[in-house]
Amino acid sequence: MKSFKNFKNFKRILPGLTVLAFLSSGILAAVAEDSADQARSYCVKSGYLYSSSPGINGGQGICVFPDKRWCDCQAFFQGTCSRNLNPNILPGYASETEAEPMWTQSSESMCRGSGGILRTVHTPYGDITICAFPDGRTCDMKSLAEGRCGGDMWLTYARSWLDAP
Amino acid sequence: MKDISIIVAAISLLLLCLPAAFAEDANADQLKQMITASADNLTTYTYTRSTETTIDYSNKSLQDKFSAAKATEGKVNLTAQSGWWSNILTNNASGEVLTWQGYFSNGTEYWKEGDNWTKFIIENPEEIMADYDELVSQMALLIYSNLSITGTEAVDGEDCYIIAADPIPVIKETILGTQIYAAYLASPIPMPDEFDSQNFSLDNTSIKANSNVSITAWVSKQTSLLRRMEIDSSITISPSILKIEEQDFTIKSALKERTDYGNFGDTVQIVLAPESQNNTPRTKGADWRWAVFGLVEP
Repeated sequence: MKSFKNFKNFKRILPGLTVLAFLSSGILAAVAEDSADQARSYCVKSGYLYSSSPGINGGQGICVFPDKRWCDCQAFFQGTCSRNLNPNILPGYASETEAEPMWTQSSESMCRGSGGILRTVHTPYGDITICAFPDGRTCDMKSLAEGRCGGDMWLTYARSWLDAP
Repeated sequence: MKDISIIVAAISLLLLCLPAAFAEDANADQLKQMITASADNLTTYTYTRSTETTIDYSNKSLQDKFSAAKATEGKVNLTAQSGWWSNILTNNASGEVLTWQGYFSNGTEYWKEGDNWTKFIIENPEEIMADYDELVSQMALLIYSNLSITGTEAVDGEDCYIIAADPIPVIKETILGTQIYAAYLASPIPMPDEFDSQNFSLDNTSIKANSNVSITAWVSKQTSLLRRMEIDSSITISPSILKIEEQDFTIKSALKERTDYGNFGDTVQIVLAPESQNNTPRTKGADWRWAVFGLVEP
């Protein structure tokens, strides 16, 4: 598992990683992924730590959240991971239904399901994706996946960036 | 009959003057609408981008500096759904130079690093094309900013509004948050132990007070197309700024990026070199892009 605890391991690839700090969005863009890679990528892009260990989850990849809880990476990707998302982050017109609780949806589907559109925004460190709701509110996709809108973005992006393979 | 001619002439003159008057008086909201609409009929364009970064490290026993520059060129053909970019990254201290290029054509992406070609087998060409379409993502940066017109200036002979953009907090925090950690990746000063904790939270107020993200854009008065954008981002961090218990140190990071757009509507052809056929195909995900450059463990 690559995490902050393994930060020292990054030292030997520091020049390369530093180089990557300046790459344009094209470098970080996703390309075709098989299912496992998509799940891993989704976990990392959501700001969490990906890990796989023979002793945990039968060796299958897990997505570790800031509160140390974890979920099977595929389950998180497929939106079947029981994360306690706060429905209040969505605008009033969001389609909250009992049949399809919010926490079973991915951030993308939450965005689109609320009438939002995904927008790619340039930054010098690579593009980010935000959800723009019809009422003018905007939520970052990582925080949306975490069940909130906004909040501490400082660490969210930095962690996913550091966690990138 | 003569009166009617005069009236028609007067109305025509008025109609001719209206767009100019509108443009001169455009406010920020109107500008956003005009900028958004300007991309509707966009077919082709080219761009150049230069990025410079310096990071100064100091504590009681060392003074160190990291400096790098990146030069980028790009071509985009939205009609043909193709694109190309070239990056030359130079570590100013070591002299190390990294060059690579990306091609997207006929739904396939190729990267060239040195003489090595990599072919990416992709399933979502629309997403890849969106990555190559730099203009749209930079325009989005303006759309999600508070804009104010600060003046006018000609870019390549074309009159432009100079626009100061203050991005929404999430964008600003993303830039600065990444800048903090990017600084640590090249740092001779070890990352504070506090960062190991998943519960650690950076102090927003203190960081905001010691940082600045400044965006300036030049938007054509005539076409409302983005002609130039400059992004300056700087941050100073220290134990007191981070509100952590650590031996005293200071890291000052500055990044400056400038992008110029042009050749709108001109002929843009993305031609793959024959050598590209001698490639290593990749079918894996984004992770593998990093591996292309040998930056990750096998």
